[in-house]
Amino acid sequence: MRIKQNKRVIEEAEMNMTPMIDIVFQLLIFFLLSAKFISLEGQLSSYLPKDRGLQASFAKIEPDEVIFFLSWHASAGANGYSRVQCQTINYRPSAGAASGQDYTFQEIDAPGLESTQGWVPYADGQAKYGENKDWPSYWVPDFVEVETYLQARASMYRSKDSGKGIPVTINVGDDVPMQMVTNIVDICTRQRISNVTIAAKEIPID
Amino acid sequence: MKKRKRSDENFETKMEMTPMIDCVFLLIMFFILTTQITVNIEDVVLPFSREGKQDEEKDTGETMLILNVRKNRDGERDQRLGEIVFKGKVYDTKQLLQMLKDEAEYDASPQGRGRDWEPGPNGSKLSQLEILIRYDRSVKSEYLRTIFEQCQKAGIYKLKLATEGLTKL
Repeated sequence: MRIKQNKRVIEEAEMNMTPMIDIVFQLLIFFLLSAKFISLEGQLSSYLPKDRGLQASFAKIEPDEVIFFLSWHASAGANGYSRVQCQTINYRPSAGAASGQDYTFQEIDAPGLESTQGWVPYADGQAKYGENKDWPSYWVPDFVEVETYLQARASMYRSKDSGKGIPVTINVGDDVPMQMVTNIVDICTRQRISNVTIAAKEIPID
Repeated sequence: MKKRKRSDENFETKMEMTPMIDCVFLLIMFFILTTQITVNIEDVVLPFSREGKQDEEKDTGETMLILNVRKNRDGERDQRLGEIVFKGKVYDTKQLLQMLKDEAEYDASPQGRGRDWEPGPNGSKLSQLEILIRYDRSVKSEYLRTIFEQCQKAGIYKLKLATEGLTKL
């Protein structure tokens, strides 16, 4: 009896590492998978104008300002596609042209139709609009035309040597998908126009 | 002799666990710390752009607020409905304005980041706070205007749109 007791005392308690390592690896894998890194995203800066107060009114619109109106036209009928329309006022494609005209930019087939097979020209490449069933395709403005126009207006403005970039305002209808707004901001960035505003409704002063 | 042989066979090589556990714990600490920074990022499909540039200063989450506009979770009837989410919470217009004002105040206070107000027009104060807007590409853009309006009211003018690269053919 005594001998047995002695043996028990001599035995060393060893910690079992295996379960701990299991759990630690589980944790490691969880954090590996749940970690998302934001640095992979690009950013477009669209700073609000500092010099305009809350009550930006039509009186303050500069004569050279380029204003885009984006509007959403819902599909008509079962086969009809929705359309995003891009319009501008004070359309002057060249320096000599008369000012004060309204203009609607050309529209391009809804992606998914035979003619474009989901791809439409954008900048010097092609882009795809609309996504699967969640977001049925829609007609988009011809952004290449928009860019060409904006480039012409920007160079006209620069020749005036005013030092500031041409002001661009995007007036967006409520239903227009975000992608369309991003495209215009993107085009402005490429044309080195930093003076981009997204028009706000008239805000009552409270 | 026999006994000796047996003891030789019983001799096992033991793996040294301590350095491995050290390493694994370090890795875990690293991932815990990095995930906390990115906790306020919602899963949205960002709009593509050609010109979107990666932020050079890796200070996202520190000096920059991240507002998400994601698809409305119960927007079954209208897929284009969205909601403004900040740090996992959905904000309506009033809450958004209050939150932006608080954050701008915190940004300028000495207890916070202590970046001074910038003088604006008509004696107004402009915040140095930057806001990154992560907007789902297919959500309608009316929330963008809401965000711009409320930022203007709160004196925040440094806004950025998060984008992803253009899908190549």
